Amino acid sequence: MSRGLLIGLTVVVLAGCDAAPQDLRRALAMLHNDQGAAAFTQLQDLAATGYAPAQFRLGMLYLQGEVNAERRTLAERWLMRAAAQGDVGARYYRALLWLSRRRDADAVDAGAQALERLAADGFRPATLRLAQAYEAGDGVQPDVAQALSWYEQAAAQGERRAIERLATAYQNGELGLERDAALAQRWRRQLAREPFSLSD
Amino acid sequence: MPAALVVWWFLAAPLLVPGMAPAFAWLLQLIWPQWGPAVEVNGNAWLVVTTLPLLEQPLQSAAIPLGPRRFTAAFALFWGLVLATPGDLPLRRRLRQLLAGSVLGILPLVLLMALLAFHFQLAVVINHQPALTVTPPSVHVLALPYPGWQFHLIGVGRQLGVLVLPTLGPVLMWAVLNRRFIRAMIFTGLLSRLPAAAGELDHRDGRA
Amino acid sequence: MKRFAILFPVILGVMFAVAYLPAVREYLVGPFTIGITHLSGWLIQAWGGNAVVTNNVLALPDFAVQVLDMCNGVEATLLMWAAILAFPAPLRYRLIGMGVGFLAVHSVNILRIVSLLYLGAWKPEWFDWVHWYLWDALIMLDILLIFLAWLHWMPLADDRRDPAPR
Repeated sequence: MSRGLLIGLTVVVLAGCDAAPQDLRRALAMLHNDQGAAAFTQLQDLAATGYAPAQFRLGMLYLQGEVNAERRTLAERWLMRAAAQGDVGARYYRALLWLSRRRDADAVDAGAQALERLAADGFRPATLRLAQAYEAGDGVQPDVAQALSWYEQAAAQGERRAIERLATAYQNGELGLERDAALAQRWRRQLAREPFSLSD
Repeated sequence: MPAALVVWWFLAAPLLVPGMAPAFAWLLQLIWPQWGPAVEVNGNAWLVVTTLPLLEQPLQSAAIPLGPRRFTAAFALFWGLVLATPGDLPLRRRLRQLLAGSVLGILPLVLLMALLAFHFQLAVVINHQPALTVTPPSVHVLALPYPGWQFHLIGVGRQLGVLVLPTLGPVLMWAVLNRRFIRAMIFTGLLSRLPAAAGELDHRDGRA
Repeated sequence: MKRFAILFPVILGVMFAVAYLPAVREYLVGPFTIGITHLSGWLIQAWGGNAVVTNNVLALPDFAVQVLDMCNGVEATLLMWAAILAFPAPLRYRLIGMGVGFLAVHSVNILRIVSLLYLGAWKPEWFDWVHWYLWDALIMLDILLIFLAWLHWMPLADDRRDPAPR
């Protein structure tokens, strides 16, 4: 009984010592304390072990500053590896990278689909990004109906920027909508509502 | 009670906040290892630093502030109740009650309150959704949101942990340690009512 | 007692889960909170004070308070009701206890709101301490006293039905 308790206690104590996330936190702290070289090495080591959050950060590090073709390739490689493990940040930024390849229709399609999968998983920034992309023709072909649909989805999820956009659209008759001051006001009221949700 | 509150405010609370931080950090690492949490002490407050990446600045991570001082008032309430309990309990036994109750009862309770409060703050940050008078920060984080029903339950947990446990917990702990007093002074005739009440309910149900 | 120890947290948890549903907060708790605030403002005015009420905000010329969770007495009421419901007692006595307890909790709570408003106007540096620590403890002790008083008030079983055969 006491041996079992000791083993159990040991397991519990060690369970609180997951090294990779702690090492990542320390690497990020080094990055922000102007210890870039040491942070980079630490991130490389962590990424090489297959730790997805480190792979994502390493990919983003390659996208800092002047990004030449080599850095971009390295960034994509690490983002792909992290995204394959489901890392949300890597999925999102990989999608944005694909969307930015305007001359490559397959890449743009893949980017849009990746964002749609993230939106389906409930990640609101992806929903909003899709709406903005379809409205501005950013990467994808401009499509007002698609933009409106994604704005409405994002607004239904509570995304404030989507709510603001819909309120303005109803106010000014944008996004293919008829001017409707009452609906614009209703959307705006959602922004003004206190978290305590008392009467208007 | 006033004496207990004074001792807590001036002597105990400044020590409890930094003192409990390592235990709280260990619990965070046990429950949310994926976010690599650590606790920094900043005066009367904690700052939980994580590896949760920010959407707008992916190389930066979310840090969530927490005010544990409020929860440590549970110690003061417990000490006041124990010290004020009348009876001929020897001083040594009363002090043992204070110590045992504080370390084995109130301390885990305070850590639980802090966990419930932190979980809620984390959920508000991740879901980027205002709830229960708390508004999320302007930045988003790169994480999938909690489903609606989970978000709701996390909020309920927070309300219980922040609004109810700080006062109910010490009272229950005191009641557990002073059952004799409660039985003798307050629950006179209670035991005779319990079987009668249960019997009356059985009678209404048609059971013999 | 074991039954009470199990039932009490379960009932409390269920009540809280229901009370914090968005629809319940929107259509029940919210209007109730506004009502409590207006009642507090009316009492101040009845005693010659100069309070202005806007939704859940109660204001004097120098200070204002916003009545939110815990300050609206809802959590305290649910706590008391959970204790009464978890305790084995006939329904009639439970309902009376819950009703009278509701009035008692909210009487003390309105006193808390008004006292905090005046304290904030007089000594704002004391407001947080009295609000978060002193009044929270007093409200809990109030609930405890209400529950114990209800236990004490409930007549002995023999007074409610025929004596059991010995």
